[in-house]
Amino acid sequence: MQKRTAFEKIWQAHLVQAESPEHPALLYIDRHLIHEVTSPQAFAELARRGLTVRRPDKTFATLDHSVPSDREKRLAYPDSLAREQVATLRRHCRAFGIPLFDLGSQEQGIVHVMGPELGLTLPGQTLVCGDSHTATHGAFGALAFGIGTSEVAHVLATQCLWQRRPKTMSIDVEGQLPPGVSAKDLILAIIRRLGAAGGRGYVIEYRGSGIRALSMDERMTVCNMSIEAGARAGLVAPDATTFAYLEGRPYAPRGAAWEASLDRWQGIRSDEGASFDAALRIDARELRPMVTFGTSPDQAVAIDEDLPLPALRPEFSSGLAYMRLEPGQPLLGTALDVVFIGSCTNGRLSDLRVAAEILRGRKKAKHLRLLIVPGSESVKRQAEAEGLAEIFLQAGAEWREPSCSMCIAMNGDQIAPGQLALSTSNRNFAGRQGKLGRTILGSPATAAASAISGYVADPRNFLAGATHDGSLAEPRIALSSAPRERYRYRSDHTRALSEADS
Amino acid sequence: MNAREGEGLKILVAGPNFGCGSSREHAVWALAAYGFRAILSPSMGDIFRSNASKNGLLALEIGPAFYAQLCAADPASKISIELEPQRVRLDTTAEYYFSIDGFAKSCLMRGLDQLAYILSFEAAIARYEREAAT
Repeated sequence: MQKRTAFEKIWQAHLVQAESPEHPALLYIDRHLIHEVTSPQAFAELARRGLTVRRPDKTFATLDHSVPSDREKRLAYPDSLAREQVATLRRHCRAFGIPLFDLGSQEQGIVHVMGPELGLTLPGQTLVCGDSHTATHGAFGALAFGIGTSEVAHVLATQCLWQRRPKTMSIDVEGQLPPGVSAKDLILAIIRRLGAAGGRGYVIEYRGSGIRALSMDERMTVCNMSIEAGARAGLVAPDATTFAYLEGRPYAPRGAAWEASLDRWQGIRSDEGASFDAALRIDARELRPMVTFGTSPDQAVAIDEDLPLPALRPEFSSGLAYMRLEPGQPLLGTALDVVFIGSCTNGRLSDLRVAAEILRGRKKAKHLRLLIVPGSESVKRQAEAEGLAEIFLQAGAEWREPSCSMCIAMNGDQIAPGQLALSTSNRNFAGRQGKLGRTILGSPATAAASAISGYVADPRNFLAGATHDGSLAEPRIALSSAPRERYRYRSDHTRALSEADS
Repeated sequence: MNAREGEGLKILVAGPNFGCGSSREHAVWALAAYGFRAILSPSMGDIFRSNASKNGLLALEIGPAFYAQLCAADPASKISIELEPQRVRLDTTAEYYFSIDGFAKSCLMRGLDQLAYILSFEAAIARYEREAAT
């Protein structure tokens, strides 16, 4: 019996047509999640060809990218395009009988937060969505990846996709994360090791004692950012943690079907001795809180590590120039304008609990804006019931309605030109959170600690039992008082122009 | 291309780095709307080439020697492109064997785009659905 990896087992079980010289493999898709931004053109394509949705029973929709997080603005969209996208999705879901978790429903939220909450993602499934961070669902032992709009049309019409078979990479994480170091820091460290293209062409399987010790939320954080290393997908084989999470969820199997599923799911793991195309080992015990300093998620350092010098690392010079951060010293102490806690990476209840633990009884720095956005209606309800929302409000935070919000800044939540934000999201591209905005990525704990301090702060100093709260008398690196007009940027925001360039 | 003689022509022979800097499919749509079915060039922009293949416009890379022959040829010469043997012929005087992605070739041979090609596997999809555990 050939030894196979978990990925190979899922892949082979979903082949409608094997790969041939004439075409890639044709893969069946068990779950198709859609949202308002990447579905309109797909539905238009179906209409153009006179096609219908083949399996509305395998298709689920929600609104997340362009919906406002401001309670009053929920019905008043930032622009007519967003309004149009939402109306279009509603119309099509009604026409085709696709369940839509709409605004006002109990289940609405960021697609990669609310989907798993409902038990929509199950081990061994193939799952796709027209969104980059679909890999999140791989945490359940599913093969989950993002697709483009034309592929959304393919799946709607046929429930299938052309796919070239990716290679496999094993990332073995051994040991437990130290206190104050989280799953977000783990994945940022992994992406730094691999580089933004190091995972290209691979499906990554995260394995080892360090991964087994993670909760489902933490596994989702890790899988979520697999794309930032260029990987096609990331997955964690299911285990008791997975099954405990899923049991009783609305779309999980029940009764005899549950028992039968458990049997099947036990087999979704890599056989002992199965070979991978590439392998990496990480010692979790060596990890520290991580922050990004540049304009790509792989441009990251430990929070107390010196930033690279552009002279020695020219590949970082444009990122550093855009970010206007001081090379040769750590990010600690760098003053911040905004802290954002939320997104499909870190917008779950456990993330908010971590933030609340640090923010409890404390206030945010006066000059700073703290925006906290729960990932779903369910997260919001629970956070309010547990008193977390009260902690956030007491700390001076804005507590918002579920949406992608400031991660992608499509809904009006954005930072002003030149502002520096520390964000628990997944991308720090130039201008991502607002034109000419600057983004540092970090964990919820780092974000909470930094919000209190008003500058980048080490969350390990805020843990119960820490000898001091880590605050400096004043920030080591103040908000720049230099006129922002001194810097000009290329129209694609990838590089600062010096006066000499103009 | 504005001249009368340009009407009805189907193959465009273009210089190196054709389509560079183009990421919009509109560039391909414009060429296809003019009537071109194929572009032959020693080198083309990646995104342009990918957009071309998505829109049924055959974008082929040819070697520099063959390109030189095409440029030197009488404008009344006949160029023929045969997809199956992957061969371009200049009258009966010269030929060039090109490479093309197997999938792109297969779609073009069938006259199908990627979605239509999937739809042609309806029986296999239905069989999979019948056999797969729910």
